[in-house]
Amino acid sequence: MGFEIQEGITRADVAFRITGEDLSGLFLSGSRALLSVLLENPESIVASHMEKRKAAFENTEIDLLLFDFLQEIIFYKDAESLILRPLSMNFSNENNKYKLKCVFNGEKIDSTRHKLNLDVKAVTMHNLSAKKTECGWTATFVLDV
Amino acid sequence: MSLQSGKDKQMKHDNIIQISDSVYEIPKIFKKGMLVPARIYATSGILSTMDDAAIDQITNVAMLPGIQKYAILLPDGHSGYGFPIGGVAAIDPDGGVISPGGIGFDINCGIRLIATSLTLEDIKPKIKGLVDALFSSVPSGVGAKGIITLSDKKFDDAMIKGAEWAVENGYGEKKDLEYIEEKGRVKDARPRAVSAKARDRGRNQVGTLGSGNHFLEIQLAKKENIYDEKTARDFGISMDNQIMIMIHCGSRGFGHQVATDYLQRFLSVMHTKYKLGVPDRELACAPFDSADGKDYFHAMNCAINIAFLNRQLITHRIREALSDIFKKSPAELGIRLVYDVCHNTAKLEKHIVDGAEKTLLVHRKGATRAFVKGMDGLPSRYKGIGQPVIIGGSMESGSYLLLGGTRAAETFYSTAHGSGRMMSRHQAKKQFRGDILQRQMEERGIYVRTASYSGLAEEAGAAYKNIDDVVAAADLAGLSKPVAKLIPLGNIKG
Repeated sequence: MGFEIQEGITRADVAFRITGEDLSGLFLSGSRALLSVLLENPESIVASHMEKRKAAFENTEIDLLLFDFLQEIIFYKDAESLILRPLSMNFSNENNKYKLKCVFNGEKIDSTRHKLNLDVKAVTMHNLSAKKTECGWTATFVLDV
Repeated sequence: MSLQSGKDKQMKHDNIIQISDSVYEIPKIFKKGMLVPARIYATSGILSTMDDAAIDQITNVAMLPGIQKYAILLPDGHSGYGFPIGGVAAIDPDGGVISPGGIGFDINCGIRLIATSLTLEDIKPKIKGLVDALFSSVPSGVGAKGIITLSDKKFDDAMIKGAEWAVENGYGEKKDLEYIEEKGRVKDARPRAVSAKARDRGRNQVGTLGSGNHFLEIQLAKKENIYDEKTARDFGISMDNQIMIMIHCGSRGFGHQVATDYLQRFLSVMHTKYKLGVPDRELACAPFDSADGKDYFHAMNCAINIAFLNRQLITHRIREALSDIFKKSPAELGIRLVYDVCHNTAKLEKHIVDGAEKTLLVHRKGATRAFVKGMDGLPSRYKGIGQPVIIGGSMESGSYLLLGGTRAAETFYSTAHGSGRMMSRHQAKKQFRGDILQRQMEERGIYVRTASYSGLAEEAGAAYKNIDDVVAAADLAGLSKPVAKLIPLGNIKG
């Protein structure tokens, strides 16, 4: 379960297909895919420097929930120079709406330790999709870089 | 998609009719919902390299309510989100829509060209020092902090005033504003239409270059690459081997968030409130003359102005760096703006449609305005000449300075903006190594500093279409005419 670049969808930006055994796994894969564009060495985000941020999302569609989740990571990258990863994710379904409560942790961008790659402008709606499969969940999304 | 040559107006393919050697058309009967035909401005060679998705997207654009004449795809066209890159749609604001996809996430990504009185002889011994100095003083890449950080009040002022704010606060000269599209400040910019998230994303990035295909390039205008000597001189290229400087960047996180905010907002109201439907979520739209449409327009204008501000601040750093290296004032170095053009905007402009003048909302996504002589909005110095057009190439190929062409009215005075990619970023990274590319470029006389070798590999020249072909196609179609080709000597990449 993880992520892979999808060719044939975009030339100027980056498209991913992600998978997960459950929604937490899927969204974790999505965050890892995003981080792989921002950093060449995502493992350089270290525990000793961690800052936490909380967020809550809700949507009737999983792909749009994923969109909001990934956009939050992009937001903090610019607003607070924070590279965040999900620490805990709590999914629920109420009144046909998916809800996600997430705690992110991460650290301030440090160009001496982080090998910075490409800046990400946005998640796009292009080819955005998410669906349940026999093995769990799969989704595709495109990042505008 | 293969086409056969020939001048007859016959269906060469189920979809595309060749109108001339540089214009193709997809009739509106091709797809249900098309309100106008789609027109593709390209030679047959360029058309054969255009991805099918770009062609499909322009036929979707043709469905937007209020669209006039044609949905237009320019020679550098390639697939984007909703709209293709290199797409133009002129919409009647009275009853028509505005679509954030027709502008793109990087609102007012654009190019600025600066002239100097330096020559190759002056710069050659100092090029590395200059590029190093600019790399240090112009923030670029992921996480770069802005040249300035603005308080809420100042940020609001900057959203309204754009480049004018920079000049008022000591970052540039008043005469700079004359040589920027819209004089560096579009009207109808209303900060209250901008979200807190957009402000938070943009506040610390003012004056940063970004990454990807953004650049700051030191260029050479060689006599053999001047195609229109008189116009080149009028635009500020008057010496052989003259040094020019080019900036390519946009509105950064601020504009990206504005685009995302309104894409989501339009998707939530499009069907329920306005009974609108589009074949692609990224074509989400709202009536221009609605509260939602107007809010986006006002927020977009704020982002246009912030992009102008960004390029003005970077120009200030360029002036400082050159002054420091050459121990002369910017005036003594002859530093002046040639022009600053936008690539991603929607603007209200007057155009002639079927013999009558109409105000239209012209969406240009990866397209450059190309006003001709006599048109309103040009600097007085250029009124008798026409607007400088700048088409940016890859870091290895060079870029072009052009003039609006004789048939530009067909595309609502729009032409190409760049080369367009041939190769995906992933493919380029597999084929090239950034450190090797940097060394090879230096051996060829192009000194590059980059914030990311991986990013540099993705920007290899071979990943892009041949810019000469794109420029030639735009020239053949009468959209823009080359004045000079500018060769890279030094480059800063984020």
